[in-house]
Amino acid sequence: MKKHRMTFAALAACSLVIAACSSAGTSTGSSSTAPPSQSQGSSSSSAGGGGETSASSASQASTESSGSTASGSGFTGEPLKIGFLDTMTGANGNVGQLALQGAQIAVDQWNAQGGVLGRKIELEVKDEELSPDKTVQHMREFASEGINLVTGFTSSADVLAAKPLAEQNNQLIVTAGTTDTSLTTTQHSKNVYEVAANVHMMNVAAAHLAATEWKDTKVWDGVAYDYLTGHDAWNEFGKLLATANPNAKTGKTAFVPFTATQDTPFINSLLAGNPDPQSSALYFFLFGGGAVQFAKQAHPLDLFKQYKVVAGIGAGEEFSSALGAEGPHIYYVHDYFYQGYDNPVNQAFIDAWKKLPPFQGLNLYGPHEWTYEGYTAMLAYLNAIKTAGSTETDAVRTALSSIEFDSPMGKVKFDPSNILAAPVTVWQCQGDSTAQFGYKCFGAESVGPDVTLAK
Amino acid sequence: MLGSVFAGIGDGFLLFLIASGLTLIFGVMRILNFSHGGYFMLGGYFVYQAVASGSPISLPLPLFVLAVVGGALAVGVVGIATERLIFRKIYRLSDIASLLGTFGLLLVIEGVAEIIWGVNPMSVPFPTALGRSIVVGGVRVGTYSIVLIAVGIVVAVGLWALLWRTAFGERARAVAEDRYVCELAGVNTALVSTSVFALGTVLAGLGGALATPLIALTPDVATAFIIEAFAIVIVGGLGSISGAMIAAIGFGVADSLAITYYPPLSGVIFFILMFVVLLVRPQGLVSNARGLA
Repeated sequence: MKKHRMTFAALAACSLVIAACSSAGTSTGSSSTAPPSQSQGSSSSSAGGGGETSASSASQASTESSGSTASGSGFTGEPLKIGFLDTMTGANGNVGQLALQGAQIAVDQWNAQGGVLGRKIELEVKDEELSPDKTVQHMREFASEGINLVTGFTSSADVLAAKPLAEQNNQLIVTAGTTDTSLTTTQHSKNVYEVAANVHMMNVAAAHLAATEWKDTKVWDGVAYDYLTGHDAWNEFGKLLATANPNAKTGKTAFVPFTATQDTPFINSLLAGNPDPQSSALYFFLFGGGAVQFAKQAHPLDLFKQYKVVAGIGAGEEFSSALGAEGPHIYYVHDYFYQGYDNPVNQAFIDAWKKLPPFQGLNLYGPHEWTYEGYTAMLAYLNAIKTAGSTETDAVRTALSSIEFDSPMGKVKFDPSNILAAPVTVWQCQGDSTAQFGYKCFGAESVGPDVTLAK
Repeated sequence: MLGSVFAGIGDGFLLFLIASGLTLIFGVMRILNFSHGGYFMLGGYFVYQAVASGSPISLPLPLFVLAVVGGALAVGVVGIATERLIFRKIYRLSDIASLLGTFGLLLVIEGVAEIIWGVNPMSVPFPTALGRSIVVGGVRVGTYSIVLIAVGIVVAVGLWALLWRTAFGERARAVAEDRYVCELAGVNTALVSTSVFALGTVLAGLGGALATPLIALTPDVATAFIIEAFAIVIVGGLGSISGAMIAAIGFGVADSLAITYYPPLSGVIFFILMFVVLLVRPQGLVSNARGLA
């Protein structure tokens, strides 16, 4: 019996260790939860032509890719380490991994041109597992490693957890994917900058369109995740809609728990309002796997066909990609769509992205907006460092607040609330069984940038 | 009202498919198998791998049926392997130790799935002709939900027949009641355990395979469904297949009605009902303290 117990204990321990390793792989910055595009080591992610991302982790990928270009670029100083802290595993791990993909493209491009201030750029990647506790732990680790510049971040709650440490340790954070409006208003910090369009900006854009492009819509139903930001987003949209288009009103709402496995009752509840396909619209504030599941269960009930307009706030092309031909016709109201901008930086970004292998079965025609966000956050840092001529926190912060830099969306700069003053982009996707990936996207339109004004 | 009830029944039968295997394994082996959610998830990924790993455009019904059956059986093979390699070492441990062990196995399965398929949500299209709805009594009902209900009923009847009308069922029930006496009587209890475990994991795989058109496949699916399945098994009565069916349908309908008439209770009603049932009837709705029910 004792022997059995020992065997079992060893087995259980091994199981837990293996599981922990597989689910928290990048927590040391040198293990393996980089996206397959990098971890498989089979392709370059450098538009500059010199990068060769061949490593089992993003930081290794960065080191090696930079190293391969370094010999020809003549770096003069110590490598510059920039922290990348995001959710890399679990249900939302794709967000962090796609953002890392973008950050890595920017790093490779700059390293191919000699780095910044003559220094090779390296990413130090850590997985915060969508946990404020892990976020705090890793921010402390960055501080102890002398890393004062950090990017990444998907969850606004995690930024709020990191903010006091950043202020205490004089670290800067340029978030890639956070969207909660409070970060630039009530929770504003001089140490935190945001690249992604926040919920307020997307709501303003959607309300603006409800009064112009979609002025025939009379009733707006809503579906959102059942959490604070979901409720706030819907409530704010209702107020903005009332101002922008007095002829329209809000109707039925369904707040779906993150943990819901059965969405049919929520769908039935929306259908119970008898939406009119000629004049009803749906505000769709779901994203990730939950959005896909909702759409899957809505498909047989033809929910989306009951609405003239479906406006997806926060969701992106990964939604249409997962649904393929079953995907509804949806207007995405988000920050970036690769077809929407014609400039050299965007083209270089797209070209670099096209050299990457497919990302985990995600069928995309161009770089995802989360990749753009990671890319642009890194561009913000690198341009600020170059302008400041320093990597010191105060100098970089001053530069971040004042510079205008080239991004895939053209010249952009941070506004006084520290959010990137870039337009919101609206585009359409829909399932199409004749298209290569079972869906097609089209019709990019910029809204703003006046919508970037803080509340 | 009718629409909510029907949606709840459809949801309930999907949960029953998962819970039936879980309660079957507990009934015979007396083990709370947390890794059951992992087998459910694997069933989904096997179907995805078989039919939709390219571009999800269309899916002929015969191909889907083959993929579901193949996926469920493949999960059964994985179940047999894990039963022989891992569970035989767990059976004799304390409840807490076995619970931790199976939870560790769940994490391993999730981790392996994440390595193979990544974390990006994936989906499988509805098979041809089943991605539609029909109107029943003025209510729009998804045809796929009707299929799920039909499969659930077939599984329930099939399990009842297997356990109560066959020699295998007799042995399984005997092992469930007293493994030691069975061993003395010459019953190959190891074979019975492996067979029951395989059947339980096939049911989990079947549930996962059939769920694929309705869910977004991610490794986290394993955890999301196992929690609800555990609640159903506990309320239905540990080891009770009929209890699991009653609990699954009851919970599905209650949750559906809550969403329709009082949304703040959605998701919570499930656990409120569990609390109430356990207060009134701690042994569960249908129970047999010494075996399968």
